[in-house]
Amino acid sequence: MLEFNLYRPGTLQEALKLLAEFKSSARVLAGGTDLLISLGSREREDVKNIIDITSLRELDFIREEDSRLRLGPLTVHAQIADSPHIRQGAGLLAAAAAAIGSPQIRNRGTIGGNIVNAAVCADTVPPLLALGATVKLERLGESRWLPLEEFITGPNRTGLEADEMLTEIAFAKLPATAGWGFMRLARREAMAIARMNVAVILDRDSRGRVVSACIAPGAVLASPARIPAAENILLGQCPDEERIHQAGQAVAAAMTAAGRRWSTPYKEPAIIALTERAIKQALEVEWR
Amino acid sequence: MNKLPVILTVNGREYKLTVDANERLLDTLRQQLRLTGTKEGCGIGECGACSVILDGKLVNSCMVLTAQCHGSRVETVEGLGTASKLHPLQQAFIDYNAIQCGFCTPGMLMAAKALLDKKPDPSEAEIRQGLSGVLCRCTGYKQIVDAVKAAAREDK
Ligand SMILES: Cc1cc2nc3c(=O)[nH]c(=O)nc-3n(C[C@H](O)[C@H](O)[C@H](O)COP(=O)(O)OP(=O)(O)OC[C@H]3O[C@@H](n4cnc5c(N)ncnc54)[C@H](O)[C@@H]3O)c2cc1C
Ligand code: FES
Ligand code: FES
Repeated sequence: MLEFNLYRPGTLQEALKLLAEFKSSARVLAGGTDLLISLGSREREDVKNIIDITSLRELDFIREEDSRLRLGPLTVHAQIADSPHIRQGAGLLAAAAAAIGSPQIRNRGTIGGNIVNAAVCADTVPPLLALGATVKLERLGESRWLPLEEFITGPNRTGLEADEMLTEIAFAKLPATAGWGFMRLARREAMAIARMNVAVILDRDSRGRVVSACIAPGAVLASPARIPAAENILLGQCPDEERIHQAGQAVAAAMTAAGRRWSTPYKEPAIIALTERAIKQALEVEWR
Repeated sequence: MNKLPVILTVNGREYKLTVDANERLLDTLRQQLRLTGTKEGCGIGECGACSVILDGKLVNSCMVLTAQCHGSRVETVEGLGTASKLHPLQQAFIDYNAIQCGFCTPGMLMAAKALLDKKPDPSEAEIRQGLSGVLCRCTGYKQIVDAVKAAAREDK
């Protein structure tokens, strides 16, 4: 493994001080399920200082306030999957967290690490985008909030500055009337990182017409984003098979418009089918 | 590279250690403490051969730095039973032929223990889910799942 100096700050303030001092020669270590692999393969020779934040309990929380959910970045996937607050108010995020890796990875991997690592197919990202999540970034003496889609700027790229940490993730709870779907495609069931995933949230009126739609696929565009063209196909409609299929095609069209690659002939039908299934999963929720 | 002091309780015994910043829990267990039951397969979180229970949670010890575990409790396969008094899981693995080459066995046992600690009466689906982070290249899993079922019955 790469050689580095390890620091164990006792508070967030101390961690931010270390970051302010070391800037781009430092990385924050949370669950380590991404970072330790890249340090092991020595692809990060520029990293000299590692700041271990795993003991900062102040960054490990799930809170429900008014109708919002607020998560600390150190919340591990297993906690998210099991949390009654999240299962009830953001079921698709719980479903995505439950699908990640293996029990070992879910016990260690954090939501903050998943977001900051920003893999194109990070499983918590499409649900968070569909939920309209915003993230809080802090540096010594300063903080700012950004919508998640602005924070993630490309594959493994974010707007995080070298002296900043992600310190909170927040979003509004889903209304009781909303249905959701989350689907992923991986090479095998356990321990396989998703090749593609998609999150859907649909809210309908008393007559079953879609009044709000979010369709957020991962691993389709260079940086994850909602696909308004697909959402508009469902808006105002009581979606039937044909409309659902068209919405799937619109997601595939967004993908091919961004460029065709060797994998496109395989990914195109797959993302259509995944999107259709996620929409159907979202529609199965009875309107109350 | 700095060295850091770590106090670690492994299988109930407290150790005061000094570790390199980049030392993995797996290395500390195997090299400093000579607890070689825990195995290294892939070293990148995919095979589960290195699984141990850290503060009650199943983790891959190849993906944890020892310096991150200051004040923690670790359970390894050596803490499960003794040669004269096997843990019910160990006895069940023998009875059900759940061991062939044995390389995955310590990881499987710890995964099974973590599961039964949390859910003493798991369904077959829950057992498969609980063991899903450990790969076995020999047995085809069926004997292992049967062994865990039997041990769960035994425990009651
Ligand atoms: C076998 C295996 C299977 C996996 N399966 C999946 C899967 O199915 N789906 C999936 O999405 N991912 C998967 N992953 C990837 C990984 O587990 C997740 O991305 C996890 O959420 C990363 O979190 P972490 O806490 O381990 O991050 P770390 O490795 O600790 O950190 C990752 C990056 O984020 C930075 N960082 C972490 N926290 C903060 C913070 N609060 N502020 C600023 N920067 C921060 C670190 O500096 C680092 O650059 C898998 C990994 C492995 C090894
Ligand atoms: S050696 Fe740790 S998971 Fe394979
Ligand atoms: S018994 Fe050989 S890997 Fe499982």
